[in-house]
Amino acid sequence: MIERVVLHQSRFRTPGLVPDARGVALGPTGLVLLQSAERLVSFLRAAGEEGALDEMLDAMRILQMLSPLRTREMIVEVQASSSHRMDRISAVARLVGGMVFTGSGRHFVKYRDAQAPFGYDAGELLADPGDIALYHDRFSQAYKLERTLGVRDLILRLAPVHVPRARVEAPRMIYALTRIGLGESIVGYLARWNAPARVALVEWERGGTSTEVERAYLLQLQQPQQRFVQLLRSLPGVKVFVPDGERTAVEYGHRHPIPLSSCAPLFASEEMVLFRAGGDGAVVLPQRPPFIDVQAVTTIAAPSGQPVANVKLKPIEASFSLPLTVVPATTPPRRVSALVVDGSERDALGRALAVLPPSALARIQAAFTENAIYLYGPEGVQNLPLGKLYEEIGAGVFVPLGMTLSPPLPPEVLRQIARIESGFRVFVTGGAYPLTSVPESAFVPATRLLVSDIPVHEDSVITPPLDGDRPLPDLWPTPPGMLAAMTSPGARGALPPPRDPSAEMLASGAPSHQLGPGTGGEGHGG
Amino acid sequence: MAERALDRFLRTFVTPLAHGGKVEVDGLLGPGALDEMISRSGLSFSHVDGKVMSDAVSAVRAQLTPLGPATDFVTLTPDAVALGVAWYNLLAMTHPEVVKSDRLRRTTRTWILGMLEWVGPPQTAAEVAMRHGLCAGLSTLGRVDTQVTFWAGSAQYIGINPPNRLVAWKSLRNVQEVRTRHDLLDLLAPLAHPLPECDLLPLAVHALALSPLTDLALCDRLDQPVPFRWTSPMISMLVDAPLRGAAVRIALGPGARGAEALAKRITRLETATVQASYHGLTLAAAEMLIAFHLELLVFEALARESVPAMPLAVDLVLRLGVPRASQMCGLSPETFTRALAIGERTQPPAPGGPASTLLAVARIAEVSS
Repeated sequence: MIERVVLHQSRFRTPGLVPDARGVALGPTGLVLLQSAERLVSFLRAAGEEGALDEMLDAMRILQMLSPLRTREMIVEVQASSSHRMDRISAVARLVGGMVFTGSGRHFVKYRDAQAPFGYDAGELLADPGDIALYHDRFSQAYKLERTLGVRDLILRLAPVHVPRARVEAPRMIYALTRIGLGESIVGYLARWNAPARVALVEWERGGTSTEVERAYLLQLQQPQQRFVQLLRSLPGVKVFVPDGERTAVEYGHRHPIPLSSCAPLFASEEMVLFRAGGDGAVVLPQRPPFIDVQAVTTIAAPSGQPVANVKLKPIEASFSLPLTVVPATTPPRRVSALVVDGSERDALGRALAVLPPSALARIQAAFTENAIYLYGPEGVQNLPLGKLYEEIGAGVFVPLGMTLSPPLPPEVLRQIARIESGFRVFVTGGAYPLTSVPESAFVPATRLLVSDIPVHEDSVITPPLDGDRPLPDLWPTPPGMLAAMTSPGARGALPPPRDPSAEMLASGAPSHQLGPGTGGEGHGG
Repeated sequence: MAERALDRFLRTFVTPLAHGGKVEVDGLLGPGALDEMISRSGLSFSHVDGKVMSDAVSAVRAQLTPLGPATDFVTLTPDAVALGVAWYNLLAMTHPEVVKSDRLRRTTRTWILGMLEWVGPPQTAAEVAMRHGLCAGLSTLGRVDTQVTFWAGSAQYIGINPPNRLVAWKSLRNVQEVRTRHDLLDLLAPLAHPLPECDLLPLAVHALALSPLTDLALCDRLDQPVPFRWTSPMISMLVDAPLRGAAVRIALGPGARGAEALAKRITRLETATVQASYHGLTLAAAEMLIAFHLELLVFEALARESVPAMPLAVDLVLRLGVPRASQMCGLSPETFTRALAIGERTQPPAPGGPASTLLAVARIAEVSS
């Protein structure tokens, strides 16, 4: 059958077998024998996940072989460039139940394993090797080549498999293959929502026995919002794809059995392949379609015909001289932002301000004029029970709450007409002098107006600290009872040094237990 | 790197004792450990972990804050730490398993006695304040023992919680937990022993007396096992006005919750004063106690807006008369009478009242009838 290779062995019966730098017997070609097509897919998938597939693709062939017992088995032929590479392939192949061989021409012997770290050599070559002869420790048999499968064809024929919903990630980009009839509606919808979408028209042959050419819109959405994805997925006639690799995309919610990102060399640089689920087969676009922004292709229809021409402009020569008044507004009142209090209510206003919470008071500014007090504070003045409430209609123009200007001038226009510069707050009061302007610099925080002056008296602390360094006298040196010994005159002297033995221990003649090292075992313990 | 003994002691005992929390008492600390704590750091605690010392100082200062202003001390003094170590050992000896061993009692007694003699009575107001800040938590200290009974037996846990697995599935395993809290005086009771060389209870009294404010805070304790009596350090402390103010706050303060507890505390203090007047109280000490009781009376009267039930203090006022009584507690007669809501001329009391012996010791003449 086969023999183990020993270290420094240089002569082999298997043709093409030579020791590599590590002494492992290695031929120029490696084979992976798999019992079925399912195991072949498993092997390719595992190799793709592990990262070994893209380096195998350059010289990989898939052979469908016929054994002497007429069973069909699959062989993956790869280039065995080094034992390191073969070790990786071997590990993946064993995981999916495959066997690994190495050799050249028609004779291949089992690749090394734990029992033979330097590999194997054939004990005796088969007289009739067929197309390929495999030498294993359990068998040696010749296989006949039935056909060669293209890797690309295999990948295109495999249908994407469903991915559980929990494992579907939010895509960064999607493609949507849209039937022609739905195209304009969807493109218009995306254009109206200003979605970052581009569109292209694609055509492909249906394939098989049919020569019919199918046409569809292909939409590309960058960073799509989830609602767009959900909408497109729910539309019949629209298939959503998520890119997997540079040149391929798989239908949303599915994945290809083989990691397509490892198979980039199998597809041309301009090619684009869309893998549809549900047995519809892959859509192979020989060239990447030119995507155009949906805004650019949306139809803009003009309702009227020719535009009006030759309009002459006329300068303003006069005004209507309407009086500026305030009238009840038809719209609900906005937020109260200012308050005007009559000057006679100054004391009442002061008392009202004094009871406001500090947070509300801090947001109020006040300006004093000869007749009135103007309070400004969008968050605070509504709490005051005095005066007249004003709301701001914009640009620092205030009208009484629930009223509006008549004629309805915009606040900027009102400022221009009244020649009021910026830096002034304008209160529309109506009457003979309908506008009152108060400079913004006159408004000061209300907190500064509450009291005129606070007398400050600098006081000094007279209470000595509790833990001051004051000596305590001894008023009662000989109390009765158990504390007599403790409060004896000797005990009330200066602090004894740390190593002084205790009086009791000295009196009893006990060994000295001192507050110091050498007392033995007096750390933590007991 | 192993945690240093002082760091561990401050973190697990001093800070939780002063601040509140779980005080860990595990094993004994001998004189060698105390010497390592104090001598190695050169009495300056410069080798202590800064955060640990800062936490301990903050906790101690927090205890002093309700009693009066304190300086910005940054370390604890060695005598306060040594007193804390003595209390640590006393509490360690309260464990039911440990307290049975006479040999251990003798050893620990020698250790604690040496420590307490090293600590000595407080010499300054700072020492009184610092020791109280560290030991004030003793008045609220307690140990919770848990008796767990379950389907297959029972177990007792002294001062620690039973493991969760033992009390899991209470209904299924028929688990019953009985928690018993022992306060400080309950814990100290088993320290008493008929043999003097094994008796640790006098050391607890001794340790309590070395922190006079703490001793005063526990004045409402029962006669057993550690009765309250006026001690020399306590009388010395009352001389210092800020400390006397702190003592008044402690006596009337939050420790005396409710009128009943306050009355009990006042009774204890006055009884101790009357007892001391029969046991060789000096003239100066008697004057100091009179001033203290008068201050107690005035402060409590201000708080209650009526004359409180303080028989000794009221008797003192009646026997001394308002002018002398107000002078002894440092108030003007007008303030004194307004605070007590009494007239300036009071009715002289009958002879033989509770204050007569105290006044006799202080050699103060009573007002004549």
